[in-house]
Amino acid sequence: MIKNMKHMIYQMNVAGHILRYRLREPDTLRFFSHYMFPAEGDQFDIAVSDRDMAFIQKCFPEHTAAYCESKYLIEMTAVYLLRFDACIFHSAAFIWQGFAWLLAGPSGVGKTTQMIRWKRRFGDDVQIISGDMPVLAAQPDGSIRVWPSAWNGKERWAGTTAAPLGGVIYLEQAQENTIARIGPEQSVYRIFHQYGCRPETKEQIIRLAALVERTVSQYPTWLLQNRGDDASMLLTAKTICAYLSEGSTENEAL
Amino acid sequence: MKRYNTRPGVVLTTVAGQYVLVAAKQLREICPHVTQINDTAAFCWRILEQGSDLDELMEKVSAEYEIEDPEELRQDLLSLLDQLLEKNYLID
Repeated sequence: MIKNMKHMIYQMNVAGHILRYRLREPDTLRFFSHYMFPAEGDQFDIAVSDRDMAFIQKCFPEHTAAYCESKYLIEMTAVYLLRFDACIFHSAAFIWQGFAWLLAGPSGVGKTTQMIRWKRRFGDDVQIISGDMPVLAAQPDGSIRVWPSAWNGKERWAGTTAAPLGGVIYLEQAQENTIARIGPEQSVYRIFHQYGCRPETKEQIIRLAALVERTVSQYPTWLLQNRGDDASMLLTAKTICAYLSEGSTENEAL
Repeated sequence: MKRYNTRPGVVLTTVAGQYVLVAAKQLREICPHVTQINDTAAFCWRILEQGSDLDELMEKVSAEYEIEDPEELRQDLLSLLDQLLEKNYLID
């Protein structure tokens, strides 16, 4: 147990990058128990300032300082990752048919419900990457790869495998199940919000915008308006299969 | 006449053909993070980045677009300015 530590330096592998964190609160470490390890030296990449701590505690007055710090580290990590053309993306991410699919939308919209239905229906054919905050990273070949992270939501669904992005399924609650592919005029705003990042500089904003551009231009975004039932999950699965078949057909034609 | 300027820290970006205003972190308590705007609003934003009053804005928009009703344009621009001011994207 760590006592009387003024500075606690830890490191964590985030999407293949070793990031060094200076923690303020000893208890913060328990939120990262399988991911963060003590590091040598005093240098660090990420630390929550007094000012930021005051802000986040104002946002979550009912929570402990350690909880607040752990939450703020998400945003700070997301911003830091922009230098690697990567960022945290608020979604439940899973692998199916060789690709990563992201169930996205505001908190409480039903991402967890959908994830449970996918896992129940397809069992081991579905591998969870992250229940809450996977990392999306641009690759040199122009693609995006989806990585696990330390932030996995209340259910603590955590994977160990990364996969190439297949597409985004943006959820809205509705009385009937419908799914439709949406273009940039409808997806840009939604995708921007799902990247859990508030950039500080113009350069960071431009990098974030480039990542959003890559996401919406190269990958499908579907709007799934749904009741949260099995039928909605199966509708999504059928849509993904049809999409992947189109891709196979195009490749064969080439 | 009142002059308007864009607030430092609010950046106009183009993403997949869509215009988006993004406010930097230091503005989080006063500005929405992201707002999507149309082509005309983006054109106006570029003018406002240099500072402008309503008359200058009307003149430049009229030169760029075919305007049938100048009074309607004035009202539309006033409405746009109001919306941007309300979101604290502009300073006057």
